Order: sequence, then C-alpha cells, then structure tokens
Amino acid sequence: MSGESLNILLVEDNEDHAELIQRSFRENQVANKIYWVKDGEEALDYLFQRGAYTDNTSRLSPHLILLDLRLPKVDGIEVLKAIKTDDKLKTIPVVVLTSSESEKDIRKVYKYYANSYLVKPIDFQQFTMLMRDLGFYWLGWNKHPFSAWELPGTQ
Amino acid sequence: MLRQCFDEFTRLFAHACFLISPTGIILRSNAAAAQMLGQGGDLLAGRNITELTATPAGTVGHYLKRCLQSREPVPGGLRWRTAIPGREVDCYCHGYRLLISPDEKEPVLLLRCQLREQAGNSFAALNQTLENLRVSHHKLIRKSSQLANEILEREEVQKKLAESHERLMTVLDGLDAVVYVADMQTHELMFLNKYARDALGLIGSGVGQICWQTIQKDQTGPCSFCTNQRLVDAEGNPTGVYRWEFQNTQNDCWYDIRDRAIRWIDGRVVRMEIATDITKRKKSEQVLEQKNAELENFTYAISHDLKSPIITIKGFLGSLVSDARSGDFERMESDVKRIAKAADKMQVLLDDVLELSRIGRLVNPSAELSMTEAANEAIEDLAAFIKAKNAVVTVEANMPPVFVDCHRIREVMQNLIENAIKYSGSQAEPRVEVGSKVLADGQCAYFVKDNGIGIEPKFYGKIFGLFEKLDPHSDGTGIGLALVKRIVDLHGGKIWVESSGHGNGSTFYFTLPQQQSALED
Repeated sequence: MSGESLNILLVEDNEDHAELIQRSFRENQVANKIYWVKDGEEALDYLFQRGAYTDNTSRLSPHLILLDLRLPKVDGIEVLKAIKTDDKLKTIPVVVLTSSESEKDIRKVYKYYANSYLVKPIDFQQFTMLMRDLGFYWLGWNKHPFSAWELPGTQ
Repeated sequence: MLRQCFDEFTRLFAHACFLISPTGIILRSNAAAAQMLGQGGDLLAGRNITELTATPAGTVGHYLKRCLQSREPVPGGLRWRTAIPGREVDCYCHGYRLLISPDEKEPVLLLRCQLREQAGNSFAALNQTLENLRVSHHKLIRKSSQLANEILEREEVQKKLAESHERLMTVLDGLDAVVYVADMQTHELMFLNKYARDALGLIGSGVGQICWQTIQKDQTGPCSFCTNQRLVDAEGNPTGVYRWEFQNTQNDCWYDIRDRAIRWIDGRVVRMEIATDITKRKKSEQVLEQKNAELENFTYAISHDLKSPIITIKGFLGSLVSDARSGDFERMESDVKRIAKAADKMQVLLDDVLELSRIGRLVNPSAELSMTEAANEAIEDLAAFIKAKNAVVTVEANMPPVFVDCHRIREVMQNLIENAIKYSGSQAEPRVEVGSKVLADGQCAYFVKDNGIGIEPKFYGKIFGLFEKLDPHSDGTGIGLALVKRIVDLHGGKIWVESSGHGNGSTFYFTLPQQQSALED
C-alpha cells in the first residue's frame, strides 16, 4: 500500500457491524486509520466541525467515507446530501455500505452523487472479501483528488 | 245670371259642357267643348247642336225631349263633327234640365259630354288596376296563410322544444349526482338539480346566484380551477366533455366530474356539470395508499433490521474460527457474547413484529377503562425495572376513564412508562409522572412525563417511526413507540411528544375516545 496515511470515516450505528468492518480492514492491512461515528448527526458534526467536534482538532481528514443508510437521528441520505452539496466535502468518495437492497435506495443514493453502493453480504467469507476489495480499490488503486487534504479545523 | 254661373262652373271642367235651349240652340259652351270640337266658344254660340252632330236630328230631338221631361240626368250618346273635316268624335252624354230662373223665358238644358275613347281607356285602366289589385290581394291572402302556417309550425316546434327541455330538467332533477348549469360569462346559475341543492344545503332553487359563491366556499372571484376555458375552442364553440376529480370546498366531498359546454334552450352556450360523489372511494383509496406506504416501510424496515443480526451472527461465527486458531480466547468470549446478543435481538424483533402485525386486526371490543388503574397496573408489572433504576413513578388519582380495547391501552401505558425510565439518561433519580389535562379544544389528553434525556423537536416525528431509534446504543428494537402510535391511531386518538430539548425530559401526550361510540367502525 502507499506510504501516505489514508483515513476512513465509518458511519455505522450497529456496533457489531462496525467491529466486523474494522476487524476486516485490520486483518487485511487496508487502512491506516478508521474513525467510527454512530449516527448521522455525529457524522455531520465531525465533518462540519460542530457539536461535540467544535473544538476537536485531532479529527482525521477522511479519504473515504463508508456510510450506512438507516441511521438514528439523521439518516444516511441526509448525510450524503450534506456532503455532496458542500463545495469542499463533495470531492470525498462516499461508499454506501448497507444491508438494504431496495431499488429505491440505490436510485436515491446515486441521485445524490454517491460514488458506490455496496450491500453488506450475509456470508462472513464474502463480507471480509468485500471489505478487503473495497479497501484495495478505494484506498489503493483509486486516485484521490487531494494530496494534502485537510478538513477545516484540523491540524 | 244662369249663363254666368255656367261659365264659372264649367270653366275648369275636363268634360265638354254645353248650355242649350229646349230646341238645341247652344247658349254657352266651356273651354273643353271648344277643344273637343276644334272651334272657339263664340263660334258655337247660337248654333243648333243638330248642325254639329252626325247623329240623326230626330234622335237628337228625341234625346233632348227626354232630358226636358226627366228630373234626373239622362244618359245618352252623341257623335260630334269637329272643325277638321271628316273627323267625328263619339261621346257619352248626360243631359240635365236646369231649373228655370226668373231671367229665362224657357227651360235650359246642361249637356255634359265625355269622349267615348277616353272613357274606354279609363275603364280599361281601371279594369287593369282592379285586376292587379285582385291578383295582389290573392297573393297577399296566399302569403298570409303561408305565414300563418309557418307561425303555427314554429309555435309547435317551440312547444315541443320546451316540452323536451322540461323532460330533460325532470330527468336531471332525478339523477343521483350533482347537476348544474351556469352562464359561462356571468357565472350565473341557471339550473341546479335537487341532488345538488341538497348536497350544497341550498334553500330555494339557487337559480340566479353566482356559481363560485354558491357551489364553492371562500372564493373571491371565479374559481382558479374553473374549467370553462377547457370546454370551448378559440371560437367559443363547445369542444366536448372534460373529466376531472375535485374535492368540493363547500361540503368537502370528492366528485368525479364531467363538464361540458352546451347550447341552452335560450341559445346561450352554457356550462353543464355532472358530478358523482366519490368520497367513499377516495377515502378508501387514501386508506389503501396509507396502508401500502405502511407495508412498504414495514418490509423495508424488516429486511434491514432482521438482516443486521444475521450479518452479526455469521460474521462473528466466522471470526470465532480464527480466534480458535490463534488461541485468542478473550476475543472468542466477546465474539460469542455478540452472537448471543444478536440472536436475542432477533428474537425480540420477531416477537415485536408479530405483536405489531396483530394490532391491525385484533381489537377487542371496547370497554370502560380507568386510566389511573391502567397506570398502576403497568407500574406493578414494571416493579423490578423501576426498582433497579431507582425511579419514582407518580399517578394522578381519578383520571377520566376511556372506552377502549383495555388490553392494548395497558400496553400503551406500560410502553410509555418503560420508555420514560429507559431514557432517563444519567439522572440519579428518574421521576415519571402520569396524569391528564384538558386541552384547548376541550378534549382530555393523558400524559407520561419524565425528567430524562429529552428529545429535540426535529426528532418529534421520527421517534414514532418503525424501527427508528435515536440512541444507537439502546437495546430497544425501535418498535415500541411505533406500536404505541398504532394502537392510539386505531382508537381514533392522537399521540405527540413535547420536550424542552436534550436533557430536559419529555412528555408524551395522547388522546383516546371517552365515549362508547367512537370505536365502532
């Protein structure tokens, strides 16, 4: 993998799924750092330097956002909309990772400029394979539009 | 004296006139006589008319004798010789015996002559005129009889038209649909059938009233949704039927409407509307739509929320294998816990889903329920939980009773009290208050109030959604409040939440029927 430090912002309300995702990444040495937020509101606070994150200067500037759709408080679509309508944030690739296979969700997600839509596989083997491929593709093969990328308010 | 009178009298006469003695001597003649005979009056005087006529002297004498003896004018005929040799003229004559004046020694005769030729022409002309008159009179009579027929026919047609119009009105009046006719320019109502008058609660015929004032409510001018423009083409000719659906603003009923411009009996192009009441259909459509949306939400939520624990279980089962291989027993233990928890969650979820699916169908007959008793029973059931959380629950005594499916409403009470304690946050002494209050509209609302974490206004709607949780760490399934709302909805009540925001506690209010009848459908 590249020597550059690559960060993932994981937006996932299910603690077990978050653990599974992080474990898969760790075991495949995919990402350097993963930051996990548990609902849509926290994701927006993190990205827009609000709420509990107003004075947090240790935030990581994510190179990839992994977004679940069914989230408490503010749902995934709203988070996606906020990201893709913000001039600075919209260049960050957003990969929707959800258990929903609904056509409606897929259409809606691409309508708001998500970069990818992935369904969480039920099978563990497939789940880890997907996490590995996802990491390799988005953080390895894929070229990012930013070199010295920083979120506003980070050091 | 007589001779002067004659001159005066006959001077302007068109007929030749002579004043003659009983023997035929011309005493006087007028200008017309001179003209007729081509000789001056002075040349005629003193001459005997027998010299001047071609008629035999005996005949002349006889005529004169008859004139003298008669009191009436005596008609006769004379043939005069004119000054032009060979030219003679035939005349009709009238001879009058004049009264003898004192200055005359013998009776005198007045002879008036009219040229036979002229008289003939006059008769011919007269005859012609008479004939013409007769013909035109005939024509006139024929024409007027024709006109009379036409008028009769027209009246007949008019009568038939009026009759069929009347029949149409009778038919329209009997229809089980709103029918009205209005002028397209003035919007004046020209006809409303009985059904329409009843549907709009009109007293009287409504004719002459303005359609947008009578048929709709709160319109300040012709309705913005008026279809008049769609019923006629650019030349103002009727274009056919326009069909639409609309909820009337006057009586809130839904109608399937057919509008059409037609020519009215008085020749005006008017708007006719026929509208059938589809309120029932519309209502069931709305209910169906709502049910479909609910079902869609339900399937969506189910597919997501039931899938999640399976992913967890399968994921950590897979993880267990590598834990065993690597000998990481600590992680193994935590993974097994996760698997067990996910399986438990699935079970709770399935139970809740089953419960929810029963709600829609299974409503026990309504009975009187004391809300104070219902709250106290819920507290008894939750005693262990309340004690564990060190919570205090107070219940208002003698709350107004309700007529409900008692079993379900006890569930509501229990759910709300349990939630109030569950989301007490870091509160050392969670306090829950169950009570009732009278709303502004006079309705009684029951409430469950806590001093817990509170809810921000933006989440007021979301918390009642199926599988919606505000706290990702809570062990709830997100069905509890959806279930509560469903039960209250089924009773025709309302449920809502009020909170002064995060950390300030929240109050859940709900209303329920307080009379027997409210639950019957």
